[in-house]
Amino acid sequence: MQMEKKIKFGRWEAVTLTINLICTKIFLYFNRLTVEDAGNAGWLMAVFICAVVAVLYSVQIWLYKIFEGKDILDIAEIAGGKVLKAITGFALGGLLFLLAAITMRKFSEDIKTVSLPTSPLSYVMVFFMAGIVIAGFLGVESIVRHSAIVIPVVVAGYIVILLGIMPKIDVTNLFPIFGTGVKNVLLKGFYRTSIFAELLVLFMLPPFLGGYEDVKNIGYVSVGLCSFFLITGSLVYILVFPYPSSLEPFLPVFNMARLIGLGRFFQRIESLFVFIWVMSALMYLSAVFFFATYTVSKAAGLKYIRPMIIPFAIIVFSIAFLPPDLVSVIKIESGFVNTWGWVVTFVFISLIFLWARIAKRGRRENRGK
Amino acid sequence: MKWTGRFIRFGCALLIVIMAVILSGCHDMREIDDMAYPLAIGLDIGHANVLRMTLQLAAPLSIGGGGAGESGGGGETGGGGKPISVITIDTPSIFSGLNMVNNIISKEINMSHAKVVVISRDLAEKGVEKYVQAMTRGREFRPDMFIVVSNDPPDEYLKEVSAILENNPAKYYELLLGKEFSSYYPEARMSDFHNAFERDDVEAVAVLSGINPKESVEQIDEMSRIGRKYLDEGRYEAGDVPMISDLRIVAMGTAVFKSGKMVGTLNGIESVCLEMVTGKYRHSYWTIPDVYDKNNVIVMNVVQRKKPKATVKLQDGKPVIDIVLDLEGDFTSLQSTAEYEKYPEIVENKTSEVIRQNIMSFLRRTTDEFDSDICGFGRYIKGRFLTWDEWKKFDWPSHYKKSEFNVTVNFKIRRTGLIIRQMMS
Amino acid sequence: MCSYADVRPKHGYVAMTAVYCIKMTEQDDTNEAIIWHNISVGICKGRSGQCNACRIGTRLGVSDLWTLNLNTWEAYDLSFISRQLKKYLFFEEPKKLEKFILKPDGGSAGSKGTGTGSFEKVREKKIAESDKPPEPGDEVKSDIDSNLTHMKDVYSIPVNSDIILREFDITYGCKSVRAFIIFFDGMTDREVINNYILKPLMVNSVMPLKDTAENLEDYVVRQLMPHCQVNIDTSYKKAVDTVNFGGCVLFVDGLDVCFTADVKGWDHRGVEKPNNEIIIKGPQEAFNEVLRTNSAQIRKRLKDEDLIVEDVIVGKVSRTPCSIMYIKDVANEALVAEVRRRLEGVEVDYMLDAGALEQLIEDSTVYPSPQVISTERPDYVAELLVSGRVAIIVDGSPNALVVPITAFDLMHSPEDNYIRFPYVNLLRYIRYIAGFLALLLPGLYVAITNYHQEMIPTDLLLAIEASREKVPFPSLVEILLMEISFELIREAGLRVPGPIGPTLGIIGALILGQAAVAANIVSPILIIIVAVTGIGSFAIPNYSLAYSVRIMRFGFIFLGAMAGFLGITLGLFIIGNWSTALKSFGVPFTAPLGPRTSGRYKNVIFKAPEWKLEYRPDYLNTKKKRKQDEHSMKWKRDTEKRK
Repeated sequence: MQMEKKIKFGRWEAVTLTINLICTKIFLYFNRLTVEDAGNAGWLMAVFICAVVAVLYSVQIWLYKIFEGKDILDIAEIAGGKVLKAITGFALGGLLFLLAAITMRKFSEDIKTVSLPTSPLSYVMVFFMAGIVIAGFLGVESIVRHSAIVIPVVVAGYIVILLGIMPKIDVTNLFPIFGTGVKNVLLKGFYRTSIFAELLVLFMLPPFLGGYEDVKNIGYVSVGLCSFFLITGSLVYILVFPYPSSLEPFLPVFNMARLIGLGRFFQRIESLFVFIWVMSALMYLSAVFFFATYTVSKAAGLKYIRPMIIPFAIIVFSIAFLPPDLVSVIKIESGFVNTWGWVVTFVFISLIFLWARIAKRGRRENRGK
Repeated sequence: MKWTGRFIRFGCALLIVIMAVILSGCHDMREIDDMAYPLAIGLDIGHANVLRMTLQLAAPLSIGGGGAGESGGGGETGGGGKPISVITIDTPSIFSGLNMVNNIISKEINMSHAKVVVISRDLAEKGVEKYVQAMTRGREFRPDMFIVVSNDPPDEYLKEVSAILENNPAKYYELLLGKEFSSYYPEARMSDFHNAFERDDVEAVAVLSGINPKESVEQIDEMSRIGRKYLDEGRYEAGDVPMISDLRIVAMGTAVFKSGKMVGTLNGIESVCLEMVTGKYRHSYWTIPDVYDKNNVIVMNVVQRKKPKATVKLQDGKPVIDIVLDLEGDFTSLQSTAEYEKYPEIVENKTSEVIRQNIMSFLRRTTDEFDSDICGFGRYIKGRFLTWDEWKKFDWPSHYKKSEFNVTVNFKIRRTGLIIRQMMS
Repeated sequence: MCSYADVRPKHGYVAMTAVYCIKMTEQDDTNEAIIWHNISVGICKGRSGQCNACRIGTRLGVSDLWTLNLNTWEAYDLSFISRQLKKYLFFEEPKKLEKFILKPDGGSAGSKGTGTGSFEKVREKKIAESDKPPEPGDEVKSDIDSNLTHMKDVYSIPVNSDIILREFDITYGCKSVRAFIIFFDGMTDREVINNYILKPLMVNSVMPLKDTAENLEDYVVRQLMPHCQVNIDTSYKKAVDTVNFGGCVLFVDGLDVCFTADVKGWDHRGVEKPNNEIIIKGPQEAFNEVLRTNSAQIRKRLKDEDLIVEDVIVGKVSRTPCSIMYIKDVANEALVAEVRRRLEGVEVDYMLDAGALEQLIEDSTVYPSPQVISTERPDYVAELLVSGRVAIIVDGSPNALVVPITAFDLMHSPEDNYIRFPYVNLLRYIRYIAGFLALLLPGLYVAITNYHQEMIPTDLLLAIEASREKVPFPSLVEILLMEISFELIREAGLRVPGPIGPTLGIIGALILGQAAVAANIVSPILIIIVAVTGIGSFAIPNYSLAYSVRIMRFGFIFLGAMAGFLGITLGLFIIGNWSTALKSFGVPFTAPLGPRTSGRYKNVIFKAPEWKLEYRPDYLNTKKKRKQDEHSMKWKRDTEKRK
C-alpha cells in the first residue's frame, strides 16, 4: 500500500485559516483600538493599514519568488546556516507563543466579564487549554479543515450582528472626518499594521501548499477579505457609537450586539454571540499554538511534534497568568505586541529573504566559477 | 479491561483532569428559581444616606402560577397576591444597595431583567450622571432600559404600577414605553442617555411620568379650560392629565437635561415636536381648529414619511438652522359642515401652519428657557470641521442659544377614511 | 520470589527473551513458563540477560529457547510505576502506522493498474488459487474404503446424527462401481439430491448412452449428473468445506477426485418489506439472510456485467462467506484493494453478522458516529454502488455495509432519490434541525437556565421560575432524571411483547410525564424539551447515528452545566475537530466541505434536482467522473421530434 506522508491542503482552507488568525481581533479589541488612536477616523486608519499591508505583502511575496516550496525556516537556513534558522524559528515561534498566551488571557477575561463572573480565571482557561491540546494532538490537517467548515458560519454570524445593528446607525457620527488629526491617522496607523502580525504563518505554510502561485493567491485573497472585514467592522462601530463614548467599552462588538433589538422579541441575542466568539477563539488559539510549536520544533531540528504539545501548552498557560490584572494585559497588548509586531512580520522576514537571496546568488556565482 | 501501561497512563491523566475541573466547581451555576428579578429600579435623594433606591421585584408565583398542570378545574391564576413586591432602602450607591437588599431577600438579585429606571425629579435636578455610569459598567444592566423621570417619589410610583391588562409589569413597561404607537413622550433608552452626557452635540431627554392623582370625575370637573388656547390633547404634562383609570401611572411629556442635570420639562405637544424634528415620529392625531367654525375642530392623522432635513449654517457667529419636514396625513374627523374634501389645500395650509407654530415655539423654548440642544443640531454642523480639536474649540453648546430657526412644513393630505364626501346639513 | 533464567539462544535464533525474567513453576520446570516481569523488549547481544527489577535470586541454567506468550503479563511493583513515569516523561519513538489515504492514481493498485492490489493481479491470484494442488496428506485417495473411513472420522459418524452417508453403485460400461455421497440433513434440498444426483447416477447409468466418455471421471461429471453446480476437487479440505455449508460430495471408487455439488436448501425467510427503513415512495424489498439472494437483488437492479461480486471468507471456524461488490470500471481500485485487505486481515474464529464485521473493519472504534453505512435496502445499495462506493454483504445478515462514507451521507435517506426536488430539500432541512435539537437542546436548556438567564424573554423567565419553584431538584438533576427515564421507556418498549408494546410506550410516556409534573418532581417545560429531543433523535435517518447523538447529548448536558455556552462550544469544537481528523477508508470524513474538493457533486447537504446530478462524488476518486450527460433531459431540447 502506497503511503503518502506529505500533508497538503487547498486554497480555501489556507484562506479561511488566515482570515481566522487576523480577524479574530475584531471580536476582541480592534474597533476600540482604532478609535483610541484616531477618534472618528478609525475607519480611515483601518483603510490605511490595509493599504500599507497590501504593499508590504507584495514586496515580500516578490522577494519570496525564487524560493518556491520552502518555508521561512528553510530560507533562513540558506541565508545563514543552522544558527540563523534557530534564531528565526525562536523569534517567530516566540512571537506566536506570546500572541497565544495574551489572546488566551484576553479571551478568558472577556468570558469572565460577560458570562462567568465569579469563576476563577484558571477554570475558564482550562477550557481553552483543553481545546488547544486536543486540537494539537489531532494534527494540522484537522485544524485547517475545521477552519474551512466553521469560519464561514462565524463570518455569517458576524454579518448578522452588523446587519442587526443597522437601524441604530447615525451617519453624523463620522464627522469630524479626520478625527484626531491626519498625522495621528497616518503615523499611528503605520504602527498598527501589527494587526496583521499573524501573516507570518502564511510563510510557514508553503510546504503544505501547492507552489508559488498558490501562496501568492492565498496571500492576496486573505489580505483582501481581511481588509474588508476590518474596515466594515470599524466603520459600523464608529457609526453606531459616538466618539467619546466609543472609547469606553471593554468589548466593542459585545456592546454592539447588546443594542440589537428588532421588535419586542428579537432582542437579547448577545448570548448567541458568545457561541461565535468562543468558536473563533478556539480556532485561533489552536492554529496559533500549533504553528508556534511546529516552528520551534522545526527550528530545533526535532522530528516529532506530539510530545512537545503538552509542555508548550503548560508554558503558554503559565505565561498567560503573568500579568497581574486586566489593565496590564491591555498595556502589553496595545503597547507592545500591537505596536512592534510589524517589525517581526514585515521587516525581519523581508531581511531574511534579502539575505538569502544574496547568499544564494553568491553561492551560485561561486559554483559557477 | 486490560491493565496495560497505556491504559493506566491515559486513565490517570483523564482522572486528574476531570478532578481538577470538577473539584474547582461550577461557580456561576445559579438556578433560575434561586434568583429574584427586579423589573424596575427607582432612584431618589435619600435622607438616611446619599441615595434612596427602590426595587420592584417580580413575584413569579402570582404571575405564572397557572401552568403547573393541575388537571381539571384547579388552575388558579395566581397564588393570590400582587405580582410585584417593592423594597426601598437608603444606600451610598446602587451596588451597595444591592448588597444590602441581598440580606433581606432570600434570593440573589439578578438585574438583567430590569426594564425601567425611575429617577425622581429632585435627583434629576441635582445630577444623575454617576449613577448612569455605574449602570453602564455593570454587565447585568441592559443598555435598552428606559429612563423615566417621575414627579412623585419613586417608592410610591413603583408601588402604584398595576398591570391590569398584562400578566406582569415587565410587559407593561415594554409596551408602554417602547412606543410602537404613541408619541407624547420620547424614546429614552439608557445607551442614548449615557452617550448624550459625553457628547457636545446632543443633550439627553427622559420620559416624564407620574402617578395620576385624579380619582373621581369631580376632580376632572375642577380642571378648567380657561387659559388654554387650543382644545388640543397634548397640552398636558404627566400628573396633570384629566383622566381617571385603574391604571394609575401616566406618562406624558419630556424631561430635558443639560450636562447631566435636569433643567425643565416639555408637555405632550412639545414632545411630539421634538420627535418630528429628530425624525423619530411615527404617527398621531393632531387637532386643528376648524378654519371656518370656531367651535369645532378637524382631526388629522399625521404620519412622517421622510426623515426631516436639517442644515446648519453659521452667519456672523450665529447658527442659522433650516429644517424641512415632510408630513402627510388622512382626514380623521371633520366636525363642521364645510366640504373640506373638495378643497384639501385649505386644510393642508392650516395644518402646516399649526404644526409650524408649535415647532417654532418648542424650539424657542429649547434655546431661551433651557439652552439645551436636545434635538441634536450640533451633529449637522460637525461636518464642517476636519479634526476633533477644532470641534472642541468651537464649543457648540455656547453657540446654541444664539441660533435662529427657519422651519418649513410640507403637509399633504392623502386619504379621507371611509367617507369620501361628507353630507351633513 | 522470583528467579531469573539464563537463556542461551539456539543457533540461528535471536533471543528476544534476554531481558525477561522467567519464573519456573514448582512441578514442571521445562514446559511451564510464567512471565514474572515484563520490562522491555530488547535484542540479546549474545549475553545472558538479567531481570532489571529484581537483581537478586538464584540463577538457573536453561538451555532451551522458550516460546513465550507475550500478550499477558502481570506486574505490580514499584518498578512498574517508575517505568510508567519514565514513559510519560521521556519520549519513545512511535511505531510507524501509516493511515490509508484514497488517492486518484490507484494507490496500492499502482498507477496504470500494475500494483499488487489491482484487479488484474487479483484475477490472476484467484485463478492460481483454484489451480493449486492440495497439500500432502489432504489428497483424496482413489480407494473408496479409505475415503469412507476418513469421512466417518472427520464427521464423527455415528455420533453426529444429522450427517447422512449414502452408499450406492454406478454402472459404468458393464461393471458396477461403488460410490457414496455425504451431506447434512436439513441444510440440503432432498428433492435435488434425489432427482438430480442419486437418480441419474443410479438409474440413468444403466441406460446405455450413445457416446460414452473414455474415462469414468468425465462420464460421471459431464454426462451423468444433470446438476448445475458440480466441481471436481482433489483435496479433503474442499470437500469438508462444501459439506459444511450445505453441499453434497460424491466419492467414486477408483477415482482420486471427488465431485462437490451445491445443493443448499435450508429454510429461510423470503424477501420481505424492510423493517427499519420504511419509506413511502419506492421499492419495498429488503435483504434477507441468504448471500446469493442478496447479491442477486443488487445485480438485478444494475444489470451490469462489470458488477463484480468477489467472495471472501472471514472467520477461521465459522468460515462466513462475504461478498465485496463493486463496479469494476467505476470504483477506485485502491479502495477495493483496501477493503479486500481489511477483510482478509480479520483474524477471528467466529464472525456472525454484519454488525460484528463493521466493528472489525472500521477506522475508529471510539468515535461516536458510524463510519460505514449499514442498510437493508438493495435499492439504496445499488444507488451507492453507482456513485463509486463498495458494498460488503455478509451471509446470514440482512444488513449490507457500504464504504466509504462522509458525515453528510449519514443524513441522507433512501427515499431522497425518489421524491421531487422541493420536498427533498425540505426534508433535509428538517432532518438537520432535528439533529441539532436532539444533540443540543437539553444542553442549551441547562446552559441558559443556569448561566445565561438574561437571554430568556422576561415573560418566559417568570413562567419557568414559577413552575420550578415547587420542584425540589436542581435543573441538572431534573433533566438527567427525565432523560434517563426516557431512555428506559425507549429500551423497555423494544421488549414489551405483542400488542401492548406501542400502547405502553405512549401511555407510559404521557402518564409518567403528567404524573411527574403533578407530583412536582419535574417542571412542565422539561417534558416538552425531553419529548422534542426524543422525537428529534427519531427523525435522524441513520439508526447508528441516532444512537451516537443520544450518547453525545449527555456529554453536552454535562458541559453545559459546567460552563454554560463556553462548555457547549468547547464540545462542538472537539467534535468538529475530531470529525475532520477522521478518515473513513481513506476518505476524509468531512469531505467535500472539509478538504474542499470541487463543488460539482451536488448532493451534500441539499440535493439538486435529478437532472443536475451529473458528476460522481469527487472525493471517491472514481475512474469515471461523469454519471450523466450535461443535458439529461434531451426531450426538452429536441422539440423537432414531436412533429
